[in-house]
Amino acid sequence: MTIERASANEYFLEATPLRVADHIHSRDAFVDSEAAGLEVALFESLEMLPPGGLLPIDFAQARVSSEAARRFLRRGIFRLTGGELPDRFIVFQNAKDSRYNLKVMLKTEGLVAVVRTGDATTELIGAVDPAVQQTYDYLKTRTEGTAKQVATDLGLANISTATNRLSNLAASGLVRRMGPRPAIGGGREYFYAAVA
Amino acid sequence: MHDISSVSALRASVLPELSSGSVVWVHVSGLGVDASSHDAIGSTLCRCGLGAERGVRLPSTVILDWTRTDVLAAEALAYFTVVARRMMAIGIQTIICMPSTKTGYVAIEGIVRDLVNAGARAVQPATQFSDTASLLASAASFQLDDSGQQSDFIEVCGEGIAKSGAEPSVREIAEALLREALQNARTHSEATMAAGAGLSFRRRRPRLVQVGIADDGIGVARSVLARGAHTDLREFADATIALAVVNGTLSGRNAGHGGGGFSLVLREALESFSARVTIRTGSALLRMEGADPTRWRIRHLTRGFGTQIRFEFPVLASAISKV
Repeated sequence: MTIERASANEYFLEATPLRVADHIHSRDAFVDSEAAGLEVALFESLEMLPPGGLLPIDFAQARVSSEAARRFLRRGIFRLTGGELPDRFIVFQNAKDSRYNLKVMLKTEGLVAVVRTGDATTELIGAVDPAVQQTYDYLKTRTEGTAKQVATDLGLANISTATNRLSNLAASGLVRRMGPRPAIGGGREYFYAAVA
Repeated sequence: MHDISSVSALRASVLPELSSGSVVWVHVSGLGVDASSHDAIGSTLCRCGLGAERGVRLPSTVILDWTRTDVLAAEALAYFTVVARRMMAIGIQTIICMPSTKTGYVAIEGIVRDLVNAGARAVQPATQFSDTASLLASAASFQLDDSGQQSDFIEVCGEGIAKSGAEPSVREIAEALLREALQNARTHSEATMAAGAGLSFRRRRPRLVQVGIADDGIGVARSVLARGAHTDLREFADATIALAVVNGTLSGRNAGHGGGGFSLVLREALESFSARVTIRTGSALLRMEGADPTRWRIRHLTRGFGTQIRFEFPVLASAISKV
């Protein structure tokens, strides 16, 4: 696996994409068993990621049903968000053809993921809470952000609310939490960068 | 030996056997889920060993007659493919009277060629006339354990939808629906084969693309009843059980999800694209349209073999309500 410094955000180390098409037998993966090899490949790739590593999952020339997506993504995402492989991230790319199938799988499982869209931006799909959406949209427009900045710029009642939102995003694997570092005006602060 | 030089000659040559029941003449116009004779054709197919209880005396020959079918439907083309193949598999001599409409003829030409190679016989129509439908994807059958064949069908349908002038997102969601439906067929239906076809109706307002699939499986209700946890539902009609499944009530997932992958993608298609869907599974007939994406209209049929699904999407941007 080649690790390259990501151009989208300097806080992530982008790995060589995992190409879905290389691990399924035809262009479509319909059923659970057809995605078993893909799940193994995903686990191997995730385990090789360094802290701050970002694994793009590339759906070019491949399409998956929600059942196949559940088989190959569900446990991988749980390993990332459950603390087994902390500080590692995934992002989907070229997923246009499987967008609806991925969306319903994530929604059913209560998961959220970041998708790179064709116009060089990203969006969230799955069980997206409006507060998560708003905070992610704010963070993706900048290199990094702190709870104080989020609270001020989004007009939240206090910093605790912003901290809760950012913690939720970090727990879902949608942003990277870094720090603490000295804060301007004293104290220490964590800062966050959106997966993109 | 039956005279297959023309439809009238065939009719004359089978008259005595028609009365004795050893030959069954099926007007396939009823294969479409909208057809008024759709319920009746379920019973006729039962006589031919499709969906029947054990002990039915099968006819020696079945004639599948397309000549009187002037309104095509994608799910009818798909179902025809499944029905003809299944009849041949159980040893019934099959004679196909080819459609008089040009689109219908082209749609099943390839399949009929395969069937003829396998022992079926075909009767050519006396005349051919144009119809209002054009072809997105010819009828194609696929083994359910062959993902490549299903991928090819989805690809052909997608390309056809794109060429019809539909928005790219219509192609995306139609392909997503097909993927979910075929996955369900493979996982739950115990089907040995499935088939699909696609049509475009340019003269309808709004213009429509229509994709139909069919399989020879046990249907939603029997699949649910086969699971130990749901055997107490056996007193309910097929339509009631199928309705519970598409609403997500029996999905086994947490409440609030609204069903499995198929139901969720379907809901998106109905709400965002003004799609219409009709599902005939066993003796259940369910319809829903984008205008009212919360209420299934159900109809209880007498009989039904396998499953048919029809998706319809309006093509013109002005016809798409909420994009």
